[in-house]
Amino acid sequence: MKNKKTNTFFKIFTVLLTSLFFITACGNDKEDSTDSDGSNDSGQTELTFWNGFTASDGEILQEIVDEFNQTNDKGINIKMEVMTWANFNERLPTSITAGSGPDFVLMNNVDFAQYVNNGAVKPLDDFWNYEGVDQDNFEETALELGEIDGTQYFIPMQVQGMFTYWNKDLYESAGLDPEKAPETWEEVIENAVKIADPSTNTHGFTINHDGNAILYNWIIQNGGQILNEDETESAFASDETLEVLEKIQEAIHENKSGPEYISGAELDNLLMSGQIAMHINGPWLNNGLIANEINYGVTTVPQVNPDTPYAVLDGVGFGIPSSTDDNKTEAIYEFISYWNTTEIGKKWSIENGFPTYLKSVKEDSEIQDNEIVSELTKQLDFAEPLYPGNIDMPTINADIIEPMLENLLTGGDPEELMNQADQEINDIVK
Amino acid sequence: MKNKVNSLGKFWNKPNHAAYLFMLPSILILLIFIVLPLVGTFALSFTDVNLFFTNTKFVGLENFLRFFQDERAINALINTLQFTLLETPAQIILGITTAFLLKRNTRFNRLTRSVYYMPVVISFTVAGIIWAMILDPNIGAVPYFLFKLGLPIPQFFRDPNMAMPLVAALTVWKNFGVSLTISLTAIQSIPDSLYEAAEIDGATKAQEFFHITIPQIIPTIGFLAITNLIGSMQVFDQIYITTSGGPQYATESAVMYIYSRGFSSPYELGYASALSAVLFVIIAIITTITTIITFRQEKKMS
Amino acid sequence: MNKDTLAIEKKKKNYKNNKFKFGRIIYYFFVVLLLFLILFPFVWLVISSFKFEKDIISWPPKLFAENYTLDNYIKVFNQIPMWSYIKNTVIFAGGVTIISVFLDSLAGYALSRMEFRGKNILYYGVLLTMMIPFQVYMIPLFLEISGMGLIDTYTGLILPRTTSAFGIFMMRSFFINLPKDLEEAARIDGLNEFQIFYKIMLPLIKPAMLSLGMFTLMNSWNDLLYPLMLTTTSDMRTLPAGLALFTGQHISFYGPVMAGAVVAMLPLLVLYVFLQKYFVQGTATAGLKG
Repeated sequence: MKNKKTNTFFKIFTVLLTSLFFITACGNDKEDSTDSDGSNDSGQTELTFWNGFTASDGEILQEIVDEFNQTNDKGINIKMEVMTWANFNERLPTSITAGSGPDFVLMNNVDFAQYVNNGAVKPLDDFWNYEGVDQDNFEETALELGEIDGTQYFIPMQVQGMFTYWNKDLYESAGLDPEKAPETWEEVIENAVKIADPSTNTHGFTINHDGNAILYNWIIQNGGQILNEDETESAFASDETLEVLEKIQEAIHENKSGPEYISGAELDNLLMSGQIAMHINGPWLNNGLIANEINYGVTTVPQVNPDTPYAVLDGVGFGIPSSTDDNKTEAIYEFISYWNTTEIGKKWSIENGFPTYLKSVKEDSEIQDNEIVSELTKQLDFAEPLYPGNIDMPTINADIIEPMLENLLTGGDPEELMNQADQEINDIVK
Repeated sequence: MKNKVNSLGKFWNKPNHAAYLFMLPSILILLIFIVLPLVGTFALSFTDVNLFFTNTKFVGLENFLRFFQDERAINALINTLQFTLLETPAQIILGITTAFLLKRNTRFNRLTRSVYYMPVVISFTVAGIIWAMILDPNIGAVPYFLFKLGLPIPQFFRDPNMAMPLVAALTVWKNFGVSLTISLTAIQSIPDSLYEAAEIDGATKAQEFFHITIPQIIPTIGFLAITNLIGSMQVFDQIYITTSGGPQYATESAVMYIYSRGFSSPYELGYASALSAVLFVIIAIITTITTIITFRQEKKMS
Repeated sequence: MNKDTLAIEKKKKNYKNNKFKFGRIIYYFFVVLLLFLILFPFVWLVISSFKFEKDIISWPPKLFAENYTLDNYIKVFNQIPMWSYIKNTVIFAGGVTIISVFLDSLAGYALSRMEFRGKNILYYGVLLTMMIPFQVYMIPLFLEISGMGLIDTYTGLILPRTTSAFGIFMMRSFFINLPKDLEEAARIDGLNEFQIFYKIMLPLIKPAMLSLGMFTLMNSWNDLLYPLMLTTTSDMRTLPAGLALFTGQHISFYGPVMAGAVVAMLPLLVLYVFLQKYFVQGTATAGLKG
C-alpha cells in the first residue's frame, strides 16, 4: 500500500520534472542559434546594456530604453540588465576578461578609473564627432567626471550630489520653522539635537557609516583635503579635518542627535517612516518620499559658509567595455546621443527629481518651474568633481574612510583615527 | 570484432571494474567543475593577478606572508571560529532537544515538527530580509515590543557585540529543523525497552535524556557536528544579506573577506586566492580532527 | 503496534504518578514559544507584502494595516520578468535534481556495494570536495564555463551541479542498508551489473531518490551566488538572483521586495506541504551512518 503511494508520487514527480526540463532545453537551443555577434541579415543590431539602477529610477530608465527601441530608425534593439551596483562591479571585470561582457554600461564616476587603468574600457573621444552631438551643451564639470588625462572615457548620463532632506512635520512639532531649509552644518546639528527624542524613537540627524561623500563635503568646505594637489600623498590629517571629525562625534556620539551605526539604506528608511528630521543623500529619494506621504523639503548639502558654497559632484556615465565589437560603437553612440537630447534629459530630471547637466534642459521653462529639479540643479553652479579619474578612491573609501567613520561615530578618538587614516591613505597612494 | 566487444563487455561487467564506470560521471564532474577550478585558485595564489587579469606576475609566497600581517584576515578567521562555536552547538542542542520532546508521533508533534522544518525550505535571502526588518531598531516589531515594555531599544544587527550572535541565531532559526529531523530518526530508533527500564527505576525525563538518549545517538551527534562545522566555516549568505560584514568588521567571516578582497576594488584576486587556500587547509584540518574524535567516541561507546 | 500502545499506556500512568504536570507546562511553553518564533516572521512577511508602502515602513510598526493592496505583486510581475525567472528556476533546479539524483545514485551504489581498488581514496576524495566553499573557486569556474562557451546556457548552469559529494554520501548510506545478497541472486539470473543497478536496486531506493531529489531541488532553488555568477542576462536569472536585484543599496520601495520574497518561497513551500515526508526523510536519512 505504502509502496504504491510512493510509486505514484515518484512517477508524477519525475515525469513533471523531466518534461519541463526537455521542453525548455529545446527552447534554449533556439536561443543559442541566434547570431552571437548580435547583428543579423536584416541590419538589426542587438545591444546589451548593464547598469545598477535597481530603484524606481530604473523603471524610468527602462521606459526610455523601450521608447528608443521602438522609435530609432537604425534597427537598434537594446536589452537592459539591471543589477545592484555591488554586483555590477563584482561581475563586470571577469565578464570583460572572458569576453562575455555587455556591449555598453553605466558606471559611477568613482569606479570607472579602475577600468580605465586596466584597459577594460574604450576611449570615447570620437563621440563628440557623432552626428547631432553638441559638446558645448554639456556642463564642463560633468565632462570632467569622465575624463582621464584629457581623454573622455565616459559620457555623462546623470550628475548627482548630496542633498539635505528635511521632514517639515518633525520640524514643526519641535517648534522650528518648517519652511526654513537648513543651510549650515551648525544649523543642522543644532536643530537635530532639539528634535531628537528617544521617548518617541525620533532622531534629528546622523551620518551613515558608509557616508563618506557627506564627510568629504564637510571637510573640503572647511578647508581640509583628502589628497594633496597632485594626488601623490595624503592631505587628510589637518586641523580643518580634525575640527569636522570632532563636531561629528560631539553631535552624534555625545549629544545623540541620531543613531550611531546605520547604513545609508537603513537611514533612507528612517526618513521614509518619518523618524528622522534631516538626512543627507543623493537625489534618488524624492519618489519614495512622495509614495510614503512624507511632508518634506529638499535643498543643497549643508555648508560651512553659505557665501562660498562648495559641493562634491558625482555622476554616472556611459562606458564601452574593451571587449565590445568596434562595429557596434555607432549604435551605442546613437543611444548615448539620444539620451543627451533635451527631451530625454528633461524627462529623466522631472520624473526622478534629478538635477541636470545639459544646458538646454536647464534653460527649459518646465524645468525651471519644477521646484525640486530647479532647487537641486542650483548645486551644479558650484559643485566640483573630487579627484576625477583617481584609481585609489574606491579603496580609500571602502577600506579606510568608512571604517574610520564607523569608529568615529561610536566614540573612537578623532585625532588618533585621523592620523591612522592619513597613514593608511599614504600606504595606498604613495 | 564481435568477439572483442564481447570480451570488453565481460571485462566491464565484473563488479570491481563496473564500479569505475558507475563512478565515472560523478568523478568527471567533480574533477572538471570543482577540482580543476580549485587548482586554478591555488595557481593564482602565487601571482598578483587582479580581477581584470592584467599584469599577472609570479610573486612566490608573498601573498601567504601578507596573510600573517593582515589584521583583517586574522579577524575574519576569528569571527568565523566565533560563529562556528556559537552556531554549531546551539543548532545541535536545539535540534536534539526538540527531537526528544517531539519524539512521539502524536498529531500535535507531527504538525509541530513540520512547522519547525519550514524555515529550512526558504532561502537565506528571504530569511535575512524578514529578520532584518523585524529587528530594525526603528521600524521593527521586536524593538517596538521592547520599547513598549519600557526597555531601551538594542541596536541588534548594528551593535558590534550583538551582530555575530544574531547572525548565528538567524542561522539556527533557519537550520535547526535539519538537526531536529536527523536526530529524530536516531532517537526514534532507540528501543522503548531502555526507557521503560529507566522509568521503572524512577528516572526523571532529564535523566532519561542524558543517560539514555544522548549516549545512544553519539554517531548522529558526530555526523551533525561534522556537517555543521563544514557549513559554519563557510558561512557567507546570511552575512552577505544581513550585515555584509559590519559593524566594524565584527561579522566579517573568512569567506566574506575573501569575497570582498577579490570582488571589490582593487580586485586583488591573487591575494584572495591565497586566502582561499589557507581557509581550505584550515577547514580540512578541523574536519579531520572532529572526524577522528567522533570515531573514537563511537568506538568507546560500542 | 500492540506493543507500542501498551508502552504508551504505561507512560501515561507514569505521567500521572510523577510530578509531570510541571514538566508538561514547561514542555508546552517551550514548544509553543518556538512555534511562535518560527511562524511570526512568515506571517509578518506575507501580510506586509499586501500593505501600502507607508504602512510597511512605519513607527509604531503594525501587523495589520487599515488598507491592503495587490500593487506590490502587480509591480513585481510587471517590472521584472518574473515568469521567466520562475521558468529558469524550474529548469535549473529541476535539471540539476533529475541528473544529480541519478548520477549520485550510481556513484553511491558503487561506493557502498562494490569492492574495487582505490575505493577508499575515491570516497575520501569525494568527501573532501564538500569542504570547498563555492566562493573559493568560482572565478576559475566562471572562466572555464565561458571558455566552453556555456555562459548563459542552461547546460552551463546545470552541468557543474549534476553531482554532489553530499548526494553521493547520502545515497551511499541508503544502499548500504539494503540486504546483502540482492546482487548475487540477480547475477545468477544472468543480469549484468547495470541491469542489477537499474532493475533491482533503483526500485528499492525510489523513496530515497525522491528524498535526495527534494533536498537537491531545495538547495538549487534557493541558491543565490551560483546562478548569479554563471549568468549574465536577466533572461537566465533564477528567482533568488532576481530577488537580490531588489535589495540594492537604494531600496526605495519595500513592498515589491516583500512580494518578491513571497513569490520566491511559495512554490517550494507548497511542494513542501504536499511532499513533506520526502523533504524530511531526505534530511533524516542523511544522518544514518553507513
